[in-house]
Amino acid sequence: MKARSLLGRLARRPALTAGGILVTLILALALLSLLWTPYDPTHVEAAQRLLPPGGEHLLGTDQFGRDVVSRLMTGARTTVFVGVVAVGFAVAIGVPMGVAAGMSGGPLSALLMRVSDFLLAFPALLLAIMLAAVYGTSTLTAMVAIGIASAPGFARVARAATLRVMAAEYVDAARLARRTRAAIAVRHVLPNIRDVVIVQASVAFATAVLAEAALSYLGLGTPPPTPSWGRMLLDSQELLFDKPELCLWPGLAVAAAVLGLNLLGDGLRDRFDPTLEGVR
Amino acid sequence: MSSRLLEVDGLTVDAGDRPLVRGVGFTVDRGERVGIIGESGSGKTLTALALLGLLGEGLRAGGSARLDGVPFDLLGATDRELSAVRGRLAGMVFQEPMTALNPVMKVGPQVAEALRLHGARSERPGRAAALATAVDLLDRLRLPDPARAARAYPHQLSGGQRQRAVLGGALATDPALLICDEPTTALDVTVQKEIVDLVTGVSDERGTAVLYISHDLALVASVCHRVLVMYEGEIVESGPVEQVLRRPEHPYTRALLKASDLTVPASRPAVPASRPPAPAEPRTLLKARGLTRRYARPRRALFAPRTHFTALEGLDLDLRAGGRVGVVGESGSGKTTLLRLLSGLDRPTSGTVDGPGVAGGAGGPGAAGKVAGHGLQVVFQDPMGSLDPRMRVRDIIAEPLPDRRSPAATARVAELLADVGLPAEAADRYPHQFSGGQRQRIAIARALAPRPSVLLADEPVSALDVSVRAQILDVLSKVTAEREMALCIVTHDLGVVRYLCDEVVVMKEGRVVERGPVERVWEAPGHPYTRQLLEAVPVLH
Repeated sequence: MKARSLLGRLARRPALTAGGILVTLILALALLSLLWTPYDPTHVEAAQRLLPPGGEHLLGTDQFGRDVVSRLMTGARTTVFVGVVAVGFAVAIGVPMGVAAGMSGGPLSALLMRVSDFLLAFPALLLAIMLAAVYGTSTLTAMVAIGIASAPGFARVARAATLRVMAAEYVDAARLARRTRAAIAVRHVLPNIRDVVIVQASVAFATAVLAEAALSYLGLGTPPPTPSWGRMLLDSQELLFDKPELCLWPGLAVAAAVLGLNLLGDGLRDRFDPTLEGVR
Repeated sequence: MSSRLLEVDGLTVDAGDRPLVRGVGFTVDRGERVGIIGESGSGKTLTALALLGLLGEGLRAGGSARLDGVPFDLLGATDRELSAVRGRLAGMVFQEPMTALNPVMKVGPQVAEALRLHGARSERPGRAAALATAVDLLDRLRLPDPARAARAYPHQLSGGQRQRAVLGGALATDPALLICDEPTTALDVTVQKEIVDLVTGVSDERGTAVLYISHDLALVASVCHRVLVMYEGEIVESGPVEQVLRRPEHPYTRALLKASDLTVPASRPAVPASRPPAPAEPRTLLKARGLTRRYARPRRALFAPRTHFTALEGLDLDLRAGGRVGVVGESGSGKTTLLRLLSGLDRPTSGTVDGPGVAGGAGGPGAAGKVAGHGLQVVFQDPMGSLDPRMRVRDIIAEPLPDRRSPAATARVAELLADVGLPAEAADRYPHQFSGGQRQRIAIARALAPRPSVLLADEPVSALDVSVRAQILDVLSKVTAEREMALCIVTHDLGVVRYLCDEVVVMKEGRVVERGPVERVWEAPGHPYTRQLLEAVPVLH
């Protein structure tokens, strides 16, 4: 029996639903922060330092007297922005590379894959430090570093999936239909590797969120005073024993984003595969 | 012979609230061979799996099944209780011998494992003794050089040898019941005959009862005493083989019998009659001369000389307008290589192809990419794999057309769908929404779209159910006759060639061993291999 109501359909895909809710929540917070936050997230008020949760400040204030809720909301914006740009960058580099390698075979494939091996072997953190040393610390540097570091993953996944598609008889049929290589790549390969790219993207997005937090925590990402979850963790570290909740909020935010994205990726993969319709 | 071995009553299998097998009841006597016939989805495999408690997750079995010598009901038993039955009292042989064997374990120990795991603890043989018994068993199953085979890994054996090893594992403990689930479907026809002879031989010799599951009516008829016909989860007819084949009562059985009977020349599609009288010398549309294809084997060591594997050697072939050539051979005979060379999907190492739009000539394998194009199209074996699952039928069929989005293309798609007997609404659906036979019709429609003069078909019906085989062949026959096309079918199934073709080319190990008009080859096969092939085909009546 096919469930007709939206609720019924959502209940049949708990992973997709839970992931979707978490990600939507974070997106909504990020968008809302553009228009409205309870307080100015960068406003320093010495008299309001380290207020406990509750009262006028829902989650209290940090050691500079800044409102934690406002900073979390604005931090979500940084996180989403970094994630989208970094993953977009990685997809734009990695997927064409993987598809080209998978479709051509031979020396080009070997060369592309060795380049991706080289990138994979290069520590992402070191890359970020190098880029920061050359171009200065900024959100953009962090995004490019994360993007370059995630691109080989996409190249590998795309190449493996492309190889599988190229072995299918419908590609032979397309060649007999006198389709050009480019047309085969666009019409047959890309739609059929979409699933694995989406799943990889959700994982890479989650990794990017973590990486941005880590880079900011190390002082290599978003420079102050712009709020970011990683920067908030860094700032609250010295107060870990006195005010542990200041660490807890950004930590929970990062965890929720990563979990939500992973669940969403899995859910989408199941949803997109037409052959899995009605199957669980 | 009269003592009852297995008694199944009211067997059901459900997936959630969907019944897959509905109230199946039958008996098997000691030493008796019972066949279960049915198409994919008829529930025949589920019935066998349920008996041994091997149903997959989400499937539930009900009813009762008593096996002589087992104090409990098989269907209500726990997994622990059943594992004593599996192997010791009932052995099972699966369809695909590669996946039934553990790929990282040598064959001998795998067969010996069955001996070491069953029987009373004190009676269990030691490792060496079990291995010796296993080798002995493989020898009795006529596996060549059994000692060496026992030391080999499954992938080092051929399909037939692997199935013998699986059979060895199932027979190791001398079970009273042997369940075979399509044991020869993945094998060549000559190997099929050997395996089937082995099963019947063992059964006669040791009094082993056999439950033989197959979609091949003729095969079951040659193996079994009694046959059960399953359709949509129910047994619609049962009885002695003779009776069911000669006087089928259920309409489904009759339809199945009719569909299986590709070998009767009288039922050949009535094309020759309506075909205009052939000109004295029909146009030759495609001409292949001295086609040879060698593959380089990977080097054994860094500086070892490269060795080559010859898939096809020195083949000549002419395809004429209105002519139908069947290329017959077993796996490894080079018939698929031939098809790829003719269509330009692969380049010959030497030799030439002259045909519609084919550039022809030898070239490196890397030169692929220039394909035959619109004058020649191919219908592939697996209609699931040859249709892009992400594309609508409309786009699939229109793919070879020059202006795919134009109203003319839309009209052409509708016309082609009608030609292959599909409704116009089919255009808006995706391939997975169709049955195997319908998908193959879609593939044929696509192949016809650019109005080719040559149609190649690679095993066009071997992935399909028996009941739709004849329909698909009739469609192929009709569309090629109407268009005066040359048709070349590559197949392992002699029945298909007999049904459809005028000329037959028999291939073995990359070479042509015999060629000629179908009637002549059937009546008086000249080559021993052709004779062997013809004899191996199970025949009804």
